[in-house]
Amino acid sequence: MILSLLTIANTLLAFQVLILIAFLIINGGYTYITFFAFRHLRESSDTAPDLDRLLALTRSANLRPITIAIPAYNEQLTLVDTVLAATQINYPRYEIVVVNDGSTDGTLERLTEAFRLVPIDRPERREIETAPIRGVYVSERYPQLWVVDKENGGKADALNAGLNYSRYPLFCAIDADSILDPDALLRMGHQFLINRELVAAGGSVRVLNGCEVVGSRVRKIRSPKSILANIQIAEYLRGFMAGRVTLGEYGSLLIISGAFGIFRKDLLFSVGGYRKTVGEDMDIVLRLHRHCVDQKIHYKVYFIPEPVCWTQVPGNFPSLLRQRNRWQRALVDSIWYNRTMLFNPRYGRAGTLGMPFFLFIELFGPLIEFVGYVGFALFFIFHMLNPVFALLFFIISILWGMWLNAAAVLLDNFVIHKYESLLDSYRIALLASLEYLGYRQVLAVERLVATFQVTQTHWGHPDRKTIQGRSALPDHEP
Amino acid sequence: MQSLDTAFFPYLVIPLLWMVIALFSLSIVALFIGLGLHKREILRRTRARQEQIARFERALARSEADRTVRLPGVNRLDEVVALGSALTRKFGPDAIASPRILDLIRASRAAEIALKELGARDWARRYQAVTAIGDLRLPELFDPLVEFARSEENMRIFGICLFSAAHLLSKPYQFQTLFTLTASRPDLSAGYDEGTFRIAIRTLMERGVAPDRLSLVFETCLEAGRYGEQHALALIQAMGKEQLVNFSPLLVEVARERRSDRLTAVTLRSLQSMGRCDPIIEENLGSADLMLNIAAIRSAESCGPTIVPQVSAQLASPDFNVRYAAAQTLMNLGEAGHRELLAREQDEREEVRHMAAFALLAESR
Repeated sequence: MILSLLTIANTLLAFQVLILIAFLIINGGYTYITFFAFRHLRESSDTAPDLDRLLALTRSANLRPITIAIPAYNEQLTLVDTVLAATQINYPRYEIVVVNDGSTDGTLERLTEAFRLVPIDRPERREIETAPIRGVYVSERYPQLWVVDKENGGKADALNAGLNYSRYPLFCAIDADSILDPDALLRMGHQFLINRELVAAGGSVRVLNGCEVVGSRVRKIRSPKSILANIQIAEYLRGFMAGRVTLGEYGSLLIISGAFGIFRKDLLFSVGGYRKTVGEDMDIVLRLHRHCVDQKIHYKVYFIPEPVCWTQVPGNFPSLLRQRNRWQRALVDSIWYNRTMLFNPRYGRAGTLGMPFFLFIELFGPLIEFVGYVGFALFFIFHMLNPVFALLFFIISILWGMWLNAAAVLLDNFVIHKYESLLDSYRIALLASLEYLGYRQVLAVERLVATFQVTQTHWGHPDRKTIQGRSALPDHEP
Repeated sequence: MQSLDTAFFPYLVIPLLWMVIALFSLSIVALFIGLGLHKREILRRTRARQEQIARFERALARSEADRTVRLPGVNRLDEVVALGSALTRKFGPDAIASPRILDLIRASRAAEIALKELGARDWARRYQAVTAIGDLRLPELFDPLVEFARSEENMRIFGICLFSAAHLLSKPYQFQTLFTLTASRPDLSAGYDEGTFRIAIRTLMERGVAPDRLSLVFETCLEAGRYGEQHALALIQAMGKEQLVNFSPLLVEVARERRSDRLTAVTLRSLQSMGRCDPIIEENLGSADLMLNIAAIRSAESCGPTIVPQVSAQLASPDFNVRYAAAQTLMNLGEAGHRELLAREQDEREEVRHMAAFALLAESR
């Protein structure tokens, strides 16, 4: 009896130690990532070419033309602004292919009206099978703008249709609720020019909420008033400025956001295009890693912080939960589908560092966090934890989180598109610290639930809002 | 029952936690203060840089009218960078400053400071120094810059070295030095090579080097087996885009000698850029190599209406890209091409009708 009680006590103690170790590893990992990114961004901030120099550099060189593909399903509120912003890109040769994925709202009508679309019998190079194409349109206002109208087949299917219709060697995928910065392609194209081995590159995705938008361009970068949006800004800053910078430098970048990424088109065709899954953005990068290693292609996948795409983040909790649920399902699905890479030294750091990072920190993170919260509460209720210790530990976890948020906001200072007002930066850092008072816990539970819903393929479409402060289409002809 | 706080060093745990809390609190306060200070510093640096550039711009403008004017003191790298930016703003990114301005730059310590910074351990400083050297446009800096580039491992800095060096060329043989330098890095993209060569060609022309004086250099660079094919291809493209039409026979000769599909395709593209027609175009129409066939089709637009039937035959190709290129070329071949497309709208093969109709419709917009 005494022996079994001792065993239980030791097990519980071991459990507490395990939770503590997991807590230290996860937060310690993020702290290391932040320090690394700080060093890297500080160094590279002095060498980011200004726009005039970039134009001078690229004017003579042979910048590869780019196809911008915008898959859209029921995006009537935002798509016109997204496309309008894409038409104002500063790049020598590019085309825009909007793929209307069987929208049931007025998406196509809005586009037709705004860009004066006319039907055209454009031939298609059908290398990847997609849902049937209903028609192809071209804009009378902007000759580089094409719209492919097809039956619904999901985002991956829409991207594949965009691939079939694309003409140029680089393929850029952006979301239908995003605004591409006018210089984003130039900065990306420059990287493809310097690095012959670059096969895919992701740019920064930044939060549009709160920013001042004039004529489909972000004129002033401001923080929003909503606490929810500010917390998400800190998350994006942590994820992009710290996480992806570091993973990219370590050669283990496994995800390029679906909101803004550029790929070599020939390789997208080689891997058979996008796979029909809710996480097509992570999946395609993993399959590119696999393909390049298997085919012995020297390759690089980079994250480049300077090119920016602005995107709306969910403005309410239900929409946010749907988004995070989808992200978690996407993560589980992508890791499972590409599991041969896990711990496999053949795939270099992508297999030995990137995959374990995503498995243990991102995929198992919510489980570890949830077990920690429950365990913590139970130990506390059953007097197995000193209340003072519990309180101090809780304070430390909040302070550590606050530290990570404040550091992420500091990282933002090293890039071109930063929050200019100090008050905005302080607001983000302070409001984001509230994430530990409910936000994080609810999200952990949602992500944990999503882990077991991996077979569900619904998209969880977020609630859209019109892009605030937008102006009408320009009156003049381009 | 034992718990975490009592299991290990019970007397130490709580004080330790308090210490960690104090450490984090202080660290957060420091981060917040640092954030404010850093924002202020960025603002100050930006303003200072703008003022420096404006000061140099004013001096450069005055120096044209007043020969006694000297440049403001240059003692630090940021001042050299500002001087470079002022020169680029005043004369444009590729133009050469007048001899008077070059003398003014020589009289300052700008070149000396920039060269010294090439040895900096911090790669960002090396990058800035290389950029500034390119902006200063002093031809005598070509050799030390190339020497530095040979041992530079950072690809970003190496890339900017090429662009800077291309702005400093003043003698034909230096083109070959630059070519050799690009050829030493096989990981450099062909597009970057091409950009470097284009700037180099323009710089030499602007410094009064007659194109004929480059023929020996180009011949050596294009010699088979001497350098990797990628660099030769980039040079051929650059020669086409810079409209060195006198060299088109040389390019055709090289293509015939080498018998490489890739090189021939690039030669055809180069001829297309120059707007030159040559029998080699017709010879390669319908080539089994798709890339070569497409290049021949596209370059055929320089040959005028006589080549319409050969291009039109390509509309029946089983390959989509070949048909697409043929339709576009016919559109660019003027009235004869348009007539051919109209006729092909009645073709019995659907893919031919489809492509012809699309080309005509796209044009009618």
